[in-house]
Amino acid sequence: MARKEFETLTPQMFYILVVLNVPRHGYEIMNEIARITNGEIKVGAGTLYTLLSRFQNDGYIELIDEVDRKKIYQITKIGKRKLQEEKRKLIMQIKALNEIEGGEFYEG
Amino acid sequence: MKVRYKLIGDLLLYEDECITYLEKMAEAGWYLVKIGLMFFKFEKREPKKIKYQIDYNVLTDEYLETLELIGYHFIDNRRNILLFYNDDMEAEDLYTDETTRLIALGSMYKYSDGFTLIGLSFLLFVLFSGIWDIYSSTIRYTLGSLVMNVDSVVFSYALRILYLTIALDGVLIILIRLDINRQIEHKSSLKKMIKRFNLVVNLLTCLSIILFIPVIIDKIIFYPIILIVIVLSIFIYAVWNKYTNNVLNKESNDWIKRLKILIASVFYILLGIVVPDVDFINNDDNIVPFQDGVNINSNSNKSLLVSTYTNNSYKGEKCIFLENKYECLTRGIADAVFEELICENERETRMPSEKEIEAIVDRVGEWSSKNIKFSDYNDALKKFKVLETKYADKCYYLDNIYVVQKDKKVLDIIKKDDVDIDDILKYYIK
Repeated sequence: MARKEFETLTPQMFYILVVLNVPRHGYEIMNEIARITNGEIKVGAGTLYTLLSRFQNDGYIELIDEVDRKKIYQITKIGKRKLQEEKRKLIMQIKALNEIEGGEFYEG
Repeated sequence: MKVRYKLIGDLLLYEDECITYLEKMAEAGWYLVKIGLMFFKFEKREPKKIKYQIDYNVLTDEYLETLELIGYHFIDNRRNILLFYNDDMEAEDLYTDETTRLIALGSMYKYSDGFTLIGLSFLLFVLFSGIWDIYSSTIRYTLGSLVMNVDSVVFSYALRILYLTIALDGVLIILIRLDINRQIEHKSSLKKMIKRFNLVVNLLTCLSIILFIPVIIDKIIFYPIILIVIVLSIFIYAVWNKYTNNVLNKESNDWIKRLKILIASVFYILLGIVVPDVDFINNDDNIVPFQDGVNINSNSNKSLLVSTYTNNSYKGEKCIFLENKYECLTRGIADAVFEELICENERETRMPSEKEIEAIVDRVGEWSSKNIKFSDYNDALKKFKVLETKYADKCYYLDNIYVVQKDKKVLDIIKKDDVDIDDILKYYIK
């Protein structure tokens, strides 16, 4: 039942997958997300670790190393496909915005 | 340092209420330092605003380290419910996303656990239903019958309530899990229902404890070895609890965790199997000489209300008389026991009429002597004859059965012909 939620990624899920393009451990992930979103998206430690184990179970990410008892994760092919799917959806959304009347207003 | 204990109740089930409560305590200067089995332990420090957070993840070293880096300090846990505090009130919440919080919470409450508990309760009911049959054949709901069997009556009801509580605990887990799933799907919460249900479970738990305690105390007074067994099993439980609670959460190796729980469980179950086979109660069998050539083999079951002593006397291999002695706490209880024995003996010696047998077959489906009805005391007494003796207050007999009362002592004797009843009375009622 909870698995249904993964069909659409929340911003936090999205950014965790994005920053795992490069192998990182938990704390690094939190910092990196804060950096690239200028602190707009915050991922709590509980949320992060819950999602990491969930993503690992679902095969979106994999454990590649363990240094100083820190688990280092990286995105997998399945995870990348998930991001591509997300990208397609986002482009579709932007396109929809641009097509409506006065859409240029939203271009910023 | 000043220390204070507060009942946890069901606070750990409701995160919001728990955090609000803890933050209020901290503002009053009471800091949470430990989560006990039933109590929160607080220590008195300077009153301050503190941020509390609850987490449900596996507490690995790495996780702990990350949390320390963002200012969260681990306080204590109950199973997978971990409590943290942060001196910085502005710190980020541990869960920035409600869904992930619910997923983490949901991993603690598994449907399978709920169904396991219900199954376990069902199994216990089936396994021990035989014992209740025995109880129900000896127990009548009269004062005399109840005081004679007080342990078994109370104990069997306490057990039933305990098994029911286990089943309801299972239902509670299923309800909580259902509620979590509903919340993930943004449906209305079942919190009110869970709260009420939890209250019922807690009340039943208290009731079974209230029933168990007097029985256990009654036994411990006369048989201190039972106390040792109880202390031992509580100790094993504490060790088991400590293992599963504190160490295992920090272990990432699921396999070792399961193995340890398995070993502890097997050990605990073994204790459960061995203890009932050890005869704690009837351990004072002894043989005393009665009169020339006659030995009495006696054992006893002591209790505060009515202690029962069963004596069989033998001449060589031959049984001379059987005798049950009841030592009662008060004269009133002794009277009730006397009445009960009269009724019981009358019933056991009465051959029921064909009409009565037919009625039993109609009612139960088959004929069995244990279904014969008890007569009223006054009616039953009419069949007995009075025996005048200087050794007892009352002595009634029916064929070779004697029911005797002397003050707080009641005797129930089945005598063979060649023994003088006065000799027996003289021996038992000194």
